[in-house]
Amino acid sequence: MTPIKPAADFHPNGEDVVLQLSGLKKEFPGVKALDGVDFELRRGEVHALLGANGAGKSTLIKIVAGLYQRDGGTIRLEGQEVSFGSTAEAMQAGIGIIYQDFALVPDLSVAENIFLGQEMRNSLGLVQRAAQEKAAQELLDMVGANFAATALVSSLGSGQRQQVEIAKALRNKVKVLILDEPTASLSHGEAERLFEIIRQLADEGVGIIYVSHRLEEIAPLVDRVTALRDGVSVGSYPTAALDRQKIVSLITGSERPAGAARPARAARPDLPPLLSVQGLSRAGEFDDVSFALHPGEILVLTGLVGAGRTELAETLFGVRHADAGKIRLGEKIVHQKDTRDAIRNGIALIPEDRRGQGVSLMLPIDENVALPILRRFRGPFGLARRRIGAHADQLIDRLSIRTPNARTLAGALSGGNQQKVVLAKWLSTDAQVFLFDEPTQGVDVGAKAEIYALIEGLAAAGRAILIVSSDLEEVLAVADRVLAMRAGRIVEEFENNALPASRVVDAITNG
Amino acid sequence: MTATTKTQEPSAQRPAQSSWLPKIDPSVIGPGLALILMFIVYSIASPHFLTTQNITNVLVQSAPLLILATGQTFALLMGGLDLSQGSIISLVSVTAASVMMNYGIVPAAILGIGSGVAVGVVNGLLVGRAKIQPFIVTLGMLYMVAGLAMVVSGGSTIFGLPHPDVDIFFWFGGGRIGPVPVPLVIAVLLVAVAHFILVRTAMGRHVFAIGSNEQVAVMSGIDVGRVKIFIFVVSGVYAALAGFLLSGRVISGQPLLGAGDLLLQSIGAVIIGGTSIFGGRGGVLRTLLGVLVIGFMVNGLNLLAISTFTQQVIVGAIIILSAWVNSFRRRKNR
Repeated sequence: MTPIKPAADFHPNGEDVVLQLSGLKKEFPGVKALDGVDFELRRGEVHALLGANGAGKSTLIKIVAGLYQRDGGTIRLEGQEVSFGSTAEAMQAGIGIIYQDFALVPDLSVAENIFLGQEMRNSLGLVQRAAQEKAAQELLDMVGANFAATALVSSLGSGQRQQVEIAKALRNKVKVLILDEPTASLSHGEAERLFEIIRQLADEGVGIIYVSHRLEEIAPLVDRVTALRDGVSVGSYPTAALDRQKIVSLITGSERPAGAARPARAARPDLPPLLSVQGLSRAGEFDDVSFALHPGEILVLTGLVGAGRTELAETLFGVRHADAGKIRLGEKIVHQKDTRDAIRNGIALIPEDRRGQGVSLMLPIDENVALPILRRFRGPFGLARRRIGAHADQLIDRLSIRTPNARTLAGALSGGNQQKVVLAKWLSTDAQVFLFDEPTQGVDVGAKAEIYALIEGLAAAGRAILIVSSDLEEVLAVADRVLAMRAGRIVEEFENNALPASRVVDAITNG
Repeated sequence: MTATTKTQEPSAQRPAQSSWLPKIDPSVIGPGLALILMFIVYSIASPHFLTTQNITNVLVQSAPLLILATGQTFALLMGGLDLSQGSIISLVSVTAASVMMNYGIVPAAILGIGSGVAVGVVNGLLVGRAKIQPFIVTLGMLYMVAGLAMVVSGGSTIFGLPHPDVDIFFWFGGGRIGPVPVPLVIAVLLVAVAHFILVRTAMGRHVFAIGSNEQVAVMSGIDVGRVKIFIFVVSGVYAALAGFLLSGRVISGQPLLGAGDLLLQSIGAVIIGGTSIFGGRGGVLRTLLGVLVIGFMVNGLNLLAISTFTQQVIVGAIIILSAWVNSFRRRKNR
C-alpha cells in the first residue's frame, strides 16, 4: 500500500466533491456537540476524521447517516442540497455507514442480515431466499469474504462480521461510506484485509470517511485528515503534510503549555497509600495490574476503548471479581463481594455509562442523591422527606447543579448536571477513594471546568482519586500521575511535570 | 454555552418544594376523569346507581380486588409481574377451610394465610436469589399452586364449616362494624400500609429505584436481591389476605376461587391506575383509582343490563386505552 494513491479515473480536486458539509450545527441539552463544522469529502478519497472524545465526530457522522437531525448548516451530496429524515433516506441516497459496534442480528444468516429491511420479495410479498443469497454472495465476494451467505452471523468472528457490515453497506450503490473506529475489535491481519477493501472501494470512486483514534493507521491509508475539537473543525490537511506531532497537536489543541496552568497539588506520596493494587488480573480484561494511590493524589488511567480500564475500575468497586491479585485499602487486604462491600470500604465509582449506571432518570434529584444512604434519613414516621430534600439542597448549592428544585427528575437535567448529581450521591457517602470513569464524557466545556474543580477539591481534602479517561486534554489537565494502559496491561507511567501529549498517545496506541 | 464562572444559586431562589396547593399528578387525571364521567353517565342512565346501598355494594365487592392489586403494584413497580396471585387465593381458601374443619378459626387463619405467604417467599427467593425472570417464576407457580390447591381439597369445595368459627370467618369477608363493612376497612388499612411502605421507607424507595434503573440501584449498593424477595413476599401476603376475605365471604374452601379472571383484573387495575409496567413509576393510590374504575364500570354496565360478555370487551378496551394515554403522556415529556 502506498501513501499516495495513484489516481485512476478520479482526480481528487475541487470539482469532484461528493459530500460537502457547511456550518453544521447540533445541540443537545446542555451541550453544543457541533458548532458550525465545515467538511468536504471528494470522490475516491479516504478522509480521516480525528478528534478527542466529545469533539463531535460521532454526532457528525450520525447526522450524515440520517440518525440525528441537524440544527443548522447545509449538507450537499454531489452538489445537491439534501436533508435526511431517516437512516433509510440516507441509505437510499447512497450513504453507507458502519458503526463501531456492529448492528447485526446474530441469529439470522449473513444474507438475511445484508437484506434486513430491504428484503427481495416476489409478487406474493414472500422473501426470495435464493435470489437474496445469490446477491449476498456476490457482495461477500466483492469484500473478499471467505464464508457463505447462508452462514449464521453468530458463527462468525469479529473481522468476518465487519465484512458482513461492509457488504451490507454496499447493498445499495454507495457514494459515501463512513467507518467508525473500524479496527477497534479487529486483529492485525483482519485490519490489513479491511484496509485493502477500503482502498479498493476508494479506487472505484467511493468517498470514505474514516473515524479513528489510531494514528498509526492513518498515514498509509488516508489521503486527507480533518480534526475536530469541541465541535468545530480545526482544519483539513493532506496526510503528506502532517507528521505525528502535528496530528497530536491538532487533536489536543496546543493552547495549553504543558504543566503550566495546573494549580498546586495536594498529593502526599509520603503518606501510605489509601488504595493499592498488586498483580490484579481478570481473564480477557486486564492482566497483572499494580499501582498505589496516595491521599490527595489524582491518578489518571488512560488508554483506548477496550484497553480494560472500565473493567479494572468496576473490579475495584466490587462489580466484577478479579481472578488473581490483591486489592489493599490502607494496610488491609479486602475481598469485595459486591458494590455494598466497596461502599462500606469507602470507595465510590462514578461510572462511564451515566444514564445506564449513574443516575436514575425517572427519580428526582434528591432521591438519586440519597439512594446509597436512604436509611440514614429514617425518622419516627418513616423516611424524613424534608431531611432528604435539605440534604440534596445543600449539595445542589455546593456543586452548583442547575435545577428548578431538588424534586426535579434527573432525566430533565443536562449531561453535566446529571454528572454532578452522580457526584453528589457519592459525596453523601463518606468515600475516601473516588473512581471516575470518563467523568466529562458528553459534558459541555463549562460544566467540565466545574467538575475538574470539584475533583481537585476532593484531592485537596485528602481523598484519593483515580480517573479513567481517554480524553487527552483531560489527562493533561488534571493528572498528577498517568498510567497508560494497552490491551489490559499498564505499559507506561508518567509523572505530570512536563508531560508531553505525544508520548502518552504513543504509549496507548503503539502495539 | 454555560459560562465557566460559577453561579451560586441560593436555595431561597428555588421554588419551595411543597406549596399549600396539592399538586395533582397528571397521570391520575386520565382514570380520575373516567371515573367522574362514569358517575355522571350512570347516574343519569340508572336511578339505582347513585344510592348508598349500591355504592357500598360495589366497594365491598371491590375490596378483595383492591387488596390483590395493591400487592400486584409492588411487582409492577419493580418492572415485574406476579401471576401466582390467583392460585394463592385458591390455596389459602382450601387450606383455611380444611384446617378449620378440625382445629378452628385461629389455626385456620394462621395456616391458611401462611400457605399463601409461603408461596410469596418462594417466588421471592427464585426471583431475588436464583435470578429467574418474575414472569417465568410466577407462571410456574401459578400452575404448581393451583395444582396444590386441588390436591389439598381433593378437587372439591369444602362446605359445612363448624360453628361458631364459620361466623367469624364470614365476619372478615362480609361482616360490619356498625355501618361499615369489615372487608372495606381491612382493604383501606392495607392500602394505607402499602402506601406508607412505598413512600416512606427505604425499602419502598428501593423498589422504585430498581424499577427505574436496576443497574443504578446495584451501583448504589442496594441489595437488589433482598428488595425483590420483599416485593414478592408483599404480593404473596396481600394475595393471601384477599383469599382469606374472599373465602370468608363464600364461607367455604374453594379450589377454584382464584382461578377466574381475578388475577388479570388485578394486573389490569394497576395498569388502568397508571403504574408503568416497565417499573419505577406509579403507586398504590393510583391502583386504588384503577380498582374503582373497574368496579364501578362493571356495576354500571350490570345496572344497564349489558351482558357480561360485552362487559369483558369494554374492560379490555379500557386497559389498552389507559396504557395508550400513559404512553402518549410519556412521549410528550420526552
